[in-house]
Amino acid sequence: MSLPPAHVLVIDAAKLNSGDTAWMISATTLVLLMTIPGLALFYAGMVRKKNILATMAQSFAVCALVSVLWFAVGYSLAFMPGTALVGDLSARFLDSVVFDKAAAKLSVHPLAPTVPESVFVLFQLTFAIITPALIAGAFAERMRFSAMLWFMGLWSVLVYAPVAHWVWEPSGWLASRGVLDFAGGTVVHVNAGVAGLVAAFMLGRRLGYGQEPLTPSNLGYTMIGASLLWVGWMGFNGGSAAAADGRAGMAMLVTQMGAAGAVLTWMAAEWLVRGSPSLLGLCSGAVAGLVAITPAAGFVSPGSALAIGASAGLACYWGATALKRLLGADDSLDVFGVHGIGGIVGALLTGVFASPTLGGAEGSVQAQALGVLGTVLYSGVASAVILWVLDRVLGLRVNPQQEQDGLDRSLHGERLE
Amino acid sequence: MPDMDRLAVAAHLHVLMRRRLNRITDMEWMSTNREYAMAMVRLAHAAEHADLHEWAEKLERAWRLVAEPGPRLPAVPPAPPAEPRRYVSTLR
Repeated sequence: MSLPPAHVLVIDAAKLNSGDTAWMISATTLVLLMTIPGLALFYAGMVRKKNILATMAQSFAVCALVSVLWFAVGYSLAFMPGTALVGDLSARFLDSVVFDKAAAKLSVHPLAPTVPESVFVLFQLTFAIITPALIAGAFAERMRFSAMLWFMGLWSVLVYAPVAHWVWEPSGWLASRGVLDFAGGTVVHVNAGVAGLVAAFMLGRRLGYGQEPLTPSNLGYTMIGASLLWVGWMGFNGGSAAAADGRAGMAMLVTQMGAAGAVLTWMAAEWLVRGSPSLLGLCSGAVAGLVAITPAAGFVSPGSALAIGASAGLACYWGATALKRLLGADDSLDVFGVHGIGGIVGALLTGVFASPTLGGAEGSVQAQALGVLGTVLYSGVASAVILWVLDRVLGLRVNPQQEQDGLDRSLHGERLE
Repeated sequence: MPDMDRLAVAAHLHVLMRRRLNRITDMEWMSTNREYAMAMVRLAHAAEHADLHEWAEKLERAWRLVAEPGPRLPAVPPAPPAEPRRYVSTLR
């Protein structure tokens, strides 16, 4: 057995909590389900028929790619102490993970001391998978598959891992300034939303954008995907308590309230403005509410969750419609409008509503704003640099003929009949 | 050319236009209304796809074989209700 890094705790297996462990294993499975097939279906239903398979392929490939990178360096950069900006490489290739059945010893991470480190690694990996997969919605229907893989790989290591370290590792510079992010409002959603917006600007608009309707292929897929996301989010937020306890239960309860509040306000806004409540609006409202409650889930009451969800429903409806027109970028599936805006609303309102009784921490809007600002700036600039380099080296975009034919056929040699 | 053959050609063109141009056409109307069929033929010729041109020509040929216009039908299909500009510039 090789020696783990000094800061990794190796404990007797008997000291684990089997209830916590069982819940974390279940939560991990739920979060993985959010990307494959949840997000894949959610996005595939919103693209045109000729791009359904390519869109699904992106989520699936990202899942595999990020898993390997997480094993190699991602986990270490995110969750080992290192500096305030990034973790060290002491857990590269998961060297920190110890499991000795004969000696009944195993490693745990200090953030989840009652579950095996292997489970913590995998739980966090599912977050690392879904974050870049979310970005794919912003450049849907026009990015080369090879460029997408390079971008996702580099972004995962150079952007996701450091930002996760800032916010979640106790030595991170945002964590030490009191920024609260229970399950990834800033790390996952603001981060992905901003990267998506930058990608949409840098890739340019799809052919026909603004001139002809780019009609979604099957909003039934989108509804199934949104439902899987909603159910999976119980593991996303509930699992972030890292224990099967009252806080996990409260996190799940407020998750439901946040989603419900946003569904109803998005629906009302759309009904009022457009004259009819659409299924896509209901699904989008649910995701908006889930995004916004994510940073707050372990810190707020059900009533506050309703308020956060309701605010996010309205803000994200504005983000995906009026703000989108104002920005002028072809963020194909509204990654910024829903995840970026929802993440920002949730992060700031966490500062307003966080209750020390529930979460043991006082909220500060100022600290939350600092977290958002730091993430927006870093994610925006780093994403732009990665995309700029890839554009020079590989080229980001398919040619017009490929785009016209659809990515299913032109990039993957497959199609739906 | 029998009506069924014209319908078969129209069906091919319908599928190709859906695939290539993302345009939905009325294939039955294409096989029974000359004016509509010719409008679709012109659209297909305007696109840069060899297979569209090929099937547009076939439909044109099929209609040339019809000496008289078929049963009198309204020259123009009833205009569909004006659709809101949904999915243009915004998805939601």
